[in-house]
Formats: sequence, structure tokens, C-alpha cells
Amino acid sequence: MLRVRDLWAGYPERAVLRGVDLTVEAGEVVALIGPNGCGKTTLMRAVTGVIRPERGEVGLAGEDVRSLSTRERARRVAVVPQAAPLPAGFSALEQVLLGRTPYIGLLASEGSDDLAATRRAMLATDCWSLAERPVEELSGGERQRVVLARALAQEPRVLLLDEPTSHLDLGHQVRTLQLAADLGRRLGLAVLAAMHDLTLASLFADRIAFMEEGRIGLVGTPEEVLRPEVIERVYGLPVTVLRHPTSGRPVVLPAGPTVDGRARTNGRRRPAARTTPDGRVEVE
Amino acid sequence: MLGVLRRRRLAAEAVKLRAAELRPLALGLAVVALTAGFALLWGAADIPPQTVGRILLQRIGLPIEADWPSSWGAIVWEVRLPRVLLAGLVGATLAYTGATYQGVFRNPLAEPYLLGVAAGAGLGATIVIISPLAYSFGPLSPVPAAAFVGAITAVAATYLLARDGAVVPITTLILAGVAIGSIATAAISYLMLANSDRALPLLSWLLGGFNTASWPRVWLLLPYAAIGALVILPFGRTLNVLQLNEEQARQLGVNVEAVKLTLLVVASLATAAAVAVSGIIGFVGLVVPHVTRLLWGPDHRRLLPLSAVLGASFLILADLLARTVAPPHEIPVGIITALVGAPFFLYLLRRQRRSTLYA
Repeated sequence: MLRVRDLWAGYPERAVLRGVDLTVEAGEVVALIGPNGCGKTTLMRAVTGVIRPERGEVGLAGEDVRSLSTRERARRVAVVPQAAPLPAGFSALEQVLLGRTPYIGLLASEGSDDLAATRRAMLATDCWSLAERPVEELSGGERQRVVLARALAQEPRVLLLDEPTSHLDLGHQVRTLQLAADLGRRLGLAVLAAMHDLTLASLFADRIAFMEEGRIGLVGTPEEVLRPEVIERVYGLPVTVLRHPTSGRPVVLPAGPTVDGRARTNGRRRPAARTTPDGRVEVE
Repeated sequence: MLGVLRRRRLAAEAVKLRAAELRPLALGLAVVALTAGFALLWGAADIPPQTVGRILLQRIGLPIEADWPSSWGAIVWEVRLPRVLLAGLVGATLAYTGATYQGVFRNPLAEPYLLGVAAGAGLGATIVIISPLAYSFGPLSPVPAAAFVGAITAVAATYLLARDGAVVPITTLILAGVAIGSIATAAISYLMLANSDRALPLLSWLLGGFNTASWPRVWLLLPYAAIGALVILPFGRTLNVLQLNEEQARQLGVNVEAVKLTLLVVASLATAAAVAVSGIIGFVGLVVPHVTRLLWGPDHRRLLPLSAVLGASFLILADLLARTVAPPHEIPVGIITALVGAPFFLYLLRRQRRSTLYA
């Protein structure tokens, strides 16, 4: 459904993506993880055609992204961005209706088909009851459901989530990810979710793709990817990997301070700070 | 069966959605007609209202016997009517182009003069006014043409300077506009000081007004104002999508750079024509869209047409005040628009400050 082959892209002076290979099948949820600056967002932008790939191919439901018009692309791939803008003064329904843009002529307005698709999307994300509410009155979790509904109203084949929950509390993070994953599987969408939380990725994704310096270093099931030595190498941070007591999925814990109060970092000893009795901070 | 029913209900809702967009517009058009009528009746010459009506009817070709002094006919048809029409057209143009600029730039401080239109027009007009040209065309003043050329030159320079390959970053565009505006303003100031004998007509042009309104000026502006409106109004929905941000708009299938270029070119042409015939009238293009937004919400499908009708009424009324409050003198209309409009705007802003429109 989403097929990325040897993709090179980035900015004129610096290639951010250096040969990305990744496939996400219909109905599959793949988590994209990796340290800051490794190219997750650039990959999303290349897939949506916001930046032009220099080399390689991005296949969206069988068509190369470069051969599609902006509108055709928007019918195949939708994005839930990190901090999705919801301009004040519009109702939730009006916001979700904007998701129909790729189906509405430049100068036309919404028809009953568009309202029907919008209603379906809002029912699926459990926000139809918010339809008449002004978006600025909604809570963070409700806003994120409206943004998800807007993406679904595009009736895409590929759904990209760019750190969709990083600003939400734990309850909303879990509920939003659960909702996106369930919808993706039920509607047969290829879901690619960039995220930072390795444990949440492990709990909701079918596969995890580890991105390192502009390429996919490792891809596989959570059990295959979330191994202490891999994480330690990529993040430079020693971790402990446990099993989730009910799901059996891997759970990643950063190694805490050792008994003597010093943080352990990848073999190097980071200077430990300590407060002296007279209140000064002393660094070793 | 159920599906058919639901489909029908959704269709009805779609019609309702569209109807809701138009209700305030009908109201607004009625207000424009009312203010225009009022402004036609009121003036230095004391002409009875029925006579004004009969003069208008007779002039448009109805068989009515002219039992009034011929000067009255000229006052109503050659002075008041073009003046009211021009004020209405300029007000509408500045307001809907202001709403367009604010929408494209997603910036509440954007206004039609942002890209150097006003300063460019001012420089064009200044050059003609200080030169012997100003008197060489008799009644057909070359000032509007020079102002128009100056305005277009300034916007084109701004756009070309800001362009980076195929894209035009919004922030660069605004800053380039400020720079071009500064250069033109500096040139105007220098020319004004160097030709102090012409400073008064120059200042009067720069402040803007409708005391030079005439039918040729109405015909000069009308095509630009009308074509501008016809092109821009259908973009209401697209402008709503642009409010998300450019990247999201692109991901929703909007060809952002093409839309931006179309809207800015058309809005700048209409603004340039408005400035050419009336001088630099401030405040309308900045504040009327905000007042409209505070009253009827930020949906551009309503905002654009409603700004136009509100701008028309506002400038007709402001011009009426400008020519009647201190007879026999006229106050520059820009002073009236700021003096009357600003307190009203502040009142609305205070009343609505809990709304998150400007959060």
C-alpha cells in the first residue's frame, strides 16, 4: 500500500533521507521510531509530496507520488501532524469538512456525499456528538479526534501520524493511538506513525521501523526490534527491556541512576552533580 | 430505504449550510442601499428628497419632466452619485482585498497596502503632481494612471524580490513589502520637500478622498473591482483550508503557491485601481475585515462578501461625514475613517475579548 524504495530526499545542501526502504501493507500499523533529527518528519513530508524526492520511489496504492497531482495525492494519503492547527471560530463539523477538499472542485462547495463521508469519519472517531461545538472549546483529546476525523474524511489509503500524541496526557495518548490503530486495521489503511515513546510503539504497532541517520536501520516486530543492545546503540542510552505483564509485548525502561547516584551512559561516565551541605552545586 | 432517507437529510443539511452563508449578505446589501440613498439625499445644496429621486429616474431614461433647476440635476447626477458610487466601490474593494491579504498571510496585521501598493501609488502620483504634466491634460488628470503604474511596479518588485525559486515565503514577502514601501516613502518625502510649492495638493492626494470623484473614475475602478471580486470570492473555501497552515493545506490537496499567486495578483490589481482613483485611504482595509470577523465569524465564504458590503457602507458614510460636518470645508476621509472606525473597533474588541478568535 505504501512502498518506499531507496528514497533520497532532503534539503539542497544536505540529504536527510539516505536510501529509505519501507513497506506498510493495508491494515498494518507500523511505528517509526528513532532519535531526533534522524529524518522521520522528512520521510512523512516526502511521502505526502511536500518535498520532492531526489532519488528513489514512493508508491501510494500503486502510483508513484511524483506522478500524482496535489489533489490525487491528498485522496491517497492523509496526515495527522504533531500540533495540528484548528483555527478558532469554526465548528468541529466545519473543520472535518475541510478534509473533503481533495474531492471538491476549487470553486465548488460541499455536497451531500461530502457530508456523508464527514459524518462517517466523525462517527468512527467518536466525535460526531461534538459536531456543532466550536473547536476552541474542545479539550486536547477531543481536538485530536477531530483532526483524526479530518484525515479520515479524506478517505485515504495511507494514514501518516507524525508524533500525534506527544502533547497529550497518558490517557489521551493511549486512547488516540488505540483508536488510530483500530481504525487502520478495520478500514484497511496502511498506518505509519512516527513516535518517540518506545513502549507505546510496542503496544500498538504490528511492526516497528527503526530509523537511524536517514535510513531504516532495522524493521520487524516489537520483539525483534526492541532489544537493549539496539536501543543502546541508537540512543546512546542503556535500557532494560521487560515483558508487559498482560500483552507480553516488550516494555522499554531507561536504566536509572546506579546505586551510587551516578547516571550510566553508554560506558562513558557523565559527571555527577551533587549538592554540598552549604547549598552549592558541585560537579565532579 | 433508511440510507435513502439519510442521504436526503444530508442533502437538506448541505442546502442549509449554503443558505446560512447568504443570510447576512442580503442584510448587508440592504444596508449598502440604505446608506447610499441617504448619502445621495444629503449635501450642501438643499434639494428635496422627491426631487433627488425624480432626477435619478429621469437620468436613467424614464419620461419625467425636468421641473428643477439644471444645477440640481448636475449636482445629483455629476457630483453626488459618482461620489457615492466611488466611495462604495473603493470601500468594498479595500475591505475584500484586506480580508484576502489577511487570509493569505494568516496575519491579522495584513492589509491591502502591505506589499507596497500605497507607497508605490503615492510615488507615482507625486512624480506627476510635481511635474508640469499635472496640468497638460486638461480635465483628464494623469494622476490616477501614474498612481496605478506606481502601485503595480511596487508590488511586482516586492514579489520578485521575495521569490525563492518556485516558492514565495510569506515572511520574506512581508519584509520585502516593508522595504519597498520605505524606499518609495523616502522618495515621496524628498520630492515633497524639494517641491514645497506643490506640497498641499500632494498631501491632499496622499490623504485620500472623494472630492475629485467623477464618472470616468467610477468606470476606471469598476472593472478591476468587479473582476477582483469575481475571482476572489469563489476562493472562500480554499482560504479556509489555508488557515490551517501551508503544509496542511498542501496535504489536503490545495496547490498553495498557485492559489497564493492568483489571489495576491488579483487583490493587488484591485487595490492599485482603488488607490489610483481615491488616494491612500487608511484603516478600511485593515479594520473592516476584523469587524466582519468579530460580527459573523472567520469563515471566508461569508467573510469576503460581507467585508465588501460592510466596507462599502462604511466608506459611503465616512465620506458623507467628511463633506458635511464642517461646511464649507471638507475633512480628508481618512481622518474620519480612523476617528469613527477605531473607537467602534476597540469597542468590539473589548466586548469579544473572551472569544478566542484572537487568542
